[in-house]
Amino acid sequence: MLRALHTAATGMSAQQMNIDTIANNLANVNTSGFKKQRVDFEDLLYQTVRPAGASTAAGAQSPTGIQIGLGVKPAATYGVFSPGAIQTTGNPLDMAIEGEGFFKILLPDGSSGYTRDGSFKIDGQGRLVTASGYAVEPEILIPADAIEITIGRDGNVAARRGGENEFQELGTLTIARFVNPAGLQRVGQNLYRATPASGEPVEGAPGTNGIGQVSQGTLEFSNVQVVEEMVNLIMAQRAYEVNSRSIQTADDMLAVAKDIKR
Amino acid sequence: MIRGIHIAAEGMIARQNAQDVIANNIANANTSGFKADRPVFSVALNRSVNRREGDQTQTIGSLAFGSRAGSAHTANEQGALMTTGNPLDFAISGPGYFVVETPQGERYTRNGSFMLDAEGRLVDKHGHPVKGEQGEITIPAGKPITVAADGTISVEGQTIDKIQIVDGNLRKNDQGRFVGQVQPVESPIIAQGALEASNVSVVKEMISMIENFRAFEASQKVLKAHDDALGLAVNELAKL
Repeated sequence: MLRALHTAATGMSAQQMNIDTIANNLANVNTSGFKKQRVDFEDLLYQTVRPAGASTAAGAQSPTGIQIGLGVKPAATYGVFSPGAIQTTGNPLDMAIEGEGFFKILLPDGSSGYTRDGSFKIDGQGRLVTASGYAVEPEILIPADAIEITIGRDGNVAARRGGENEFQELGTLTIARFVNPAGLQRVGQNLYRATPASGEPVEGAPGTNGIGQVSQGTLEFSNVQVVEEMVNLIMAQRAYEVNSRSIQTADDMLAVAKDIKR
Repeated sequence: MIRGIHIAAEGMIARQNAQDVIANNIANANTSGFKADRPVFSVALNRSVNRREGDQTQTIGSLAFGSRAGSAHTANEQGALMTTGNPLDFAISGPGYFVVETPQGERYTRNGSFMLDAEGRLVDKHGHPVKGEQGEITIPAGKPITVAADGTISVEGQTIDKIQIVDGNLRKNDQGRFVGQVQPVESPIIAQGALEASNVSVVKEMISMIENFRAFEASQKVLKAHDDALGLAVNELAKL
């Protein structure tokens, strides 16, 4: 049959995936610390009907051949780790990372997760945890009678207990950064996991080795920009539509071919 | 049988091939760095028509034996530059291709959507290293990179390497890559934080699709007309 039917179908499914990704970006427009994703496409194999440089009947060499492409496929989805806007919340346990890096989180299976969502809470045992209840690593215990908590730009957490004047050091937040954050695996709940592609985490105190600093009382917005996503959505929708036209035309051609024989 | 049937059929096959090429362009309308292919039709075979007078054969002209999709040439027009803000996205304005080292050898691409791998090397989406003038490009961890318009990569004011840009007579390979003979481009223009969009113009493709379809239909009509004539010859002449 016509190759065009399959080629156009690859185009439609690629655009579907594009729209899925855009929809997820838009769904997370208000998720703190969320980093938008993009799909990268590439062309599929080419069928060489006649190679370039083949000799023509006249004895000359044809400068170009006939190569017919077989469509498109998604090459990669990758995160865009540009910084999101910083929003002041005034909540002492909200933290944003100004610069590169991720908070390190201990997951229930004992492995480490990484997040840029610094909307931390205190659980029943006084531990600093994420909104989903996973503890920050290294563990930071906040005394039950703490009335004031300060977090320095260097990640130092200190608390003042009721009836005391002195601040007591509780520990230091560790921030991890990756050579290739685009290679991190997304696991939901604002968490990422390290993969061979992301490289080993480089951990350190905030403000050292290109690691970002901590800003208390603020949260990082999602870096999704609605206007940009809407434009991408329109482009994807139109591309989807035009591919369906190309299927329609190929089908019409087959109908014409069929009509040769009545 | 009748020559015309074959000629018309040739035309239809050529138009089918052209539709395949157009469908591939449309499918890649959103593929960064993609270059559209244009079908070029040529005469399948020219046969000379001779007249014989006594012992003398005299050529009186030629008769074309149908058309076929003679070649598909790649349109090298510049695609639009889209700003992405990603510091590892590059677009070439004007001629040239990035060089990517694959296990099959050097490949050339206009899709400058690169990233760093776990070792800090600048790689394409398949993990193949992008070549600089001194080989693979390794970026020191955690440092923002700036790329000048001529491709010079620097980190905190220190030059690391220069992105290799080449040009030549290239043909398409898969995955947005090209192969062929190349030579370096003297003064390339590279934009950091941008990607080159596909140069497929949807309007153009829609028009060539309609045009192509109508030509296909016309060839079919010609084929049928020949068939009808043949039918007359076979069925009506025989009715004695």
